[in-house]
Amino acid sequence: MVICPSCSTDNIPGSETCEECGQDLSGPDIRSDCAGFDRQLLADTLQVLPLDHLAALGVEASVADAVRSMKDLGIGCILVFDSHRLAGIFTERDLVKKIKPELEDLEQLKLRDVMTPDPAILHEEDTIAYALNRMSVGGFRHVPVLRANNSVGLISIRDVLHYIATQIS
Amino acid sequence: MSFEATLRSEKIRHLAVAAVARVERDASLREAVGILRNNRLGCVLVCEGEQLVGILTERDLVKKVFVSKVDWNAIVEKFMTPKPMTLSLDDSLADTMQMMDAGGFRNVPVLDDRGRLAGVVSVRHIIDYLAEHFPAEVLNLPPRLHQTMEAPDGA
Repeated sequence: MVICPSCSTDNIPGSETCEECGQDLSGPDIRSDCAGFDRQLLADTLQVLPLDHLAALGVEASVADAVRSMKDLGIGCILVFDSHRLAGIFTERDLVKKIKPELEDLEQLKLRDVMTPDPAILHEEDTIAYALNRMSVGGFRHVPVLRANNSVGLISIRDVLHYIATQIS
Repeated sequence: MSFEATLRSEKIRHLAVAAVARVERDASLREAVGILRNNRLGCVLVCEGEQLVGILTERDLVKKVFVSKVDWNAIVEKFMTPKPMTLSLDDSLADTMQMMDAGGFRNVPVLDDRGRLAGVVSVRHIIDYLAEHFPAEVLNLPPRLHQTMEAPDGA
């Protein structure tokens, strides 16, 4: 029995290529064929991503403040702090889903009342593969990242896409 | 086959491309935003008959609608991104990812073989595809590669 290192199919002993996926089974170093990108994704941590492309506001800031920051910085998510603690995030999705600008005064509406409280977070030493999986399962487009020095960064689905698109080009 | 090669050979038609929400170009902003709000969609396509003329995304709302007082009865054409780039069902996932990355697009309309709208592919579909098809070992890894137990496990 020969297990294909790429797709885990059982092959007949002596097979030169995997009957399922065509992976070369003949060489002494059979993993090398699928090593590059796969291995990179498993080895790289969030530290290789630009974690500092973010905006932070206090819980008392208004939705109008948040919209201005999003527009000026070209980002889709605001980290919301209560004194020095991360209390929530406020995203484009929250904006479109929860806010009716035709009915509400965005200058008066506070982030405290419309943010997504206690968001899922990642750690800067988590792998990109793990982050990818969390974003997929949780349906998250942005996830705050706790760093070793206790500051908070942010990754977006776009950062992950950019990382992978760069790896395969 | 390596994962990278899979991304090059796999086509958009293999993804479950999302159904399209569309409005006519003279629909009101109120109607278009209502569709985004109520259907958990990231974009709505603006058409003139069968012809795609624009796309209205959450990003457009942040940049053009939420920043100032707007007339909610104004037509959607004034707020949309006109003439969006499109993909075809036979473009590869690798091509799709590189186009989305280069253009900063989160949603891209997809046309079928006859140039008709087939759906929208979003960065969410791509991430879900990657998470689902990436080798199973990914899912079994601890989040931090060198993670160790702080105390011995068990009794």
